[in-house]
Amino acid sequence: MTSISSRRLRKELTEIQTEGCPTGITLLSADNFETWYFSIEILGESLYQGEVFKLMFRFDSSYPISAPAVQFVVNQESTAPVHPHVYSNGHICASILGTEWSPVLSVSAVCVTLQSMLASCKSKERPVDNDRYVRYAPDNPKKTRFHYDGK
Amino acid sequence: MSMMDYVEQPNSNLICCICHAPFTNPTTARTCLHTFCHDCIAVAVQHSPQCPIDRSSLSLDDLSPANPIVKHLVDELIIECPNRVSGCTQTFQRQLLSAHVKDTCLYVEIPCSEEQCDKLILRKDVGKHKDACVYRSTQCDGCGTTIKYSDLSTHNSECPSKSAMCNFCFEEFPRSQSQAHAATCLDYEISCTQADNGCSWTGPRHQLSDEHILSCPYEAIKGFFFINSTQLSSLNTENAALRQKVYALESVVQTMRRDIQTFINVLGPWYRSHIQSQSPPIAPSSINAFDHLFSAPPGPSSSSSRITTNQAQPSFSADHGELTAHNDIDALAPYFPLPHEHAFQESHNYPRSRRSFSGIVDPHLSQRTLPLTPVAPLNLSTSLEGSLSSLRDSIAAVSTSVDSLARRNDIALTNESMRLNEELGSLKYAVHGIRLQLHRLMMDRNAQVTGRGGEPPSGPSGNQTIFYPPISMMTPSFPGPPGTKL
Repeated sequence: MTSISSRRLRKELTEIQTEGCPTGITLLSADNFETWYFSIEILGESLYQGEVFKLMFRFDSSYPISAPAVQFVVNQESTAPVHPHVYSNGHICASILGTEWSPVLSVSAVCVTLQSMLASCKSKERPVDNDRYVRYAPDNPKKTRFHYDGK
Repeated sequence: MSMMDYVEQPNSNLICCICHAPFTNPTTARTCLHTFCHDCIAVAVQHSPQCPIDRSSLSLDDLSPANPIVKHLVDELIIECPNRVSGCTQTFQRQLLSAHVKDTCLYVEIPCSEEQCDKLILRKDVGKHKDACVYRSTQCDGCGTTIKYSDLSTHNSECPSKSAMCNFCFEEFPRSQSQAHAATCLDYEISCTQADNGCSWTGPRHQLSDEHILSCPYEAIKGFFFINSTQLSSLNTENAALRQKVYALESVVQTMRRDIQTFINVLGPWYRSHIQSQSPPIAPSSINAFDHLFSAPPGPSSSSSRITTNQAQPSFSADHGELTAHNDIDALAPYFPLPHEHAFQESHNYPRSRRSFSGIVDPHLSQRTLPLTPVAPLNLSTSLEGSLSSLRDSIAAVSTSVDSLARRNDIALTNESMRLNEELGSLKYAVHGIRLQLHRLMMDRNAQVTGRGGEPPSGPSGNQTIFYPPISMMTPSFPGPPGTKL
């Protein structure tokens, strides 16, 4: 990994370890500068009260110039939240993870954004094209070209 | 720029929000006035042409160096030496980093100053390494010369001042004396003194005189070898001298052969090989005869040669005009007939011109009808020089002869015309007498016819009969009327 992305990630990790994560976010593992895991839960009044999800960040060498690949982990232990912008395979349709990404954003900023996205959810339902997307979806959500509708 | 460890947490306003580290080459966007590291914002704008913070559009042209205050603030941040891991505990302003690493940091690896050494040493260990580097210069403790440490062991085995050990007697001595030792060591292996003569014995020196010499078969005939070698060397010397002489003579022969060839070329047809040159012995006489063809007026060309001419004559046909080939090998002979002895003498008689005058009988005339005299043949068997000189003499003789002939012709012509004049005068006189006689006869007849001729006037005319020319002169008849006009 080139120095610029690893240096930046080392700084973020140091920050998380020294100052802690935002409330409701916990660092599960960050063994390298390629894949990090976080757990995320929504505190306060929300449709997802009591549910805990698992987030996976995958970084490439162009981070932080380009966005990390972020998705919910779907396996025997955890599932993706039922949300109009979250597909059942864990992929998230969020503009800040695609075209709206800015180098200024960080791992914890992404976590907080997703937290607020879930908290603001009005009805627990899958995206309308969930089945079709999941059938053909690539492994890496960054390879999907989402159409953001602003909801 | 490499990662730096700051002694204190930098002010968060000095942190680039892309790399999350204090600015490096702080750069401010002119449009939105946000500040980033130059490298960070350049890459970000190339990826997406907007400000990472407020997403306002941004291009590379909108970037400019940040306010100098910002630059000074980040440059003066105190950092730890990047070689802290190696042991450097120094801290200094960030802008002094490169100077520190380059010149003062003791924990930087620098190459050894010895050219051949390719090791990298921490600056603090340079002094230690200098004493340990295998390429360092060192001095031989024996001879004092300066050599590389790595070459020291090689040098030790060669250094003349170090001690060496004899391979035979195992005695130790300085190496510089090894040759002297080899010449004296009793155990040193040497060959027999008669090795040159064929003895193949080798052994320790002390055995040579003690044992081997007593039994060596070559030693027994040492005297013979000595005499033999002396003779051989003298023969060799002589042989060399002789060889040199032969070389010299060969070169002389070569030169002579070249000269001879040149002469042969020059001589051309005059050159005869040894066998051909044994031509008929008349050669000298014929060439002498040739010298005197047309018999030049008696001159320095000697009476002796004339004698040889006379001697040679019998070999020619004596009759002038008959040019008989007297010699088969001399094809040119007919063109140079030898002059007849008689002609030879005659050629000097001046009054010979009468020959053309038929009325006078000259006893010599009958032998002078031949202008062509025999000439000696050209003889190729004589020397070129002789031939040439004889030819030249001949030409001189010919020219003289021609000259005298011309003169004789002149005189003859003059004589002839004088004689003619004389005769013409006498004839004129005779005719005149005849006319007078005729006139008298006419006068007499006229007197008889007329009856009374002049008696007395004819008296004196009788005297004229004395002048009667000879009878023979009167025979010619005058066909026409008397030539009274005479």
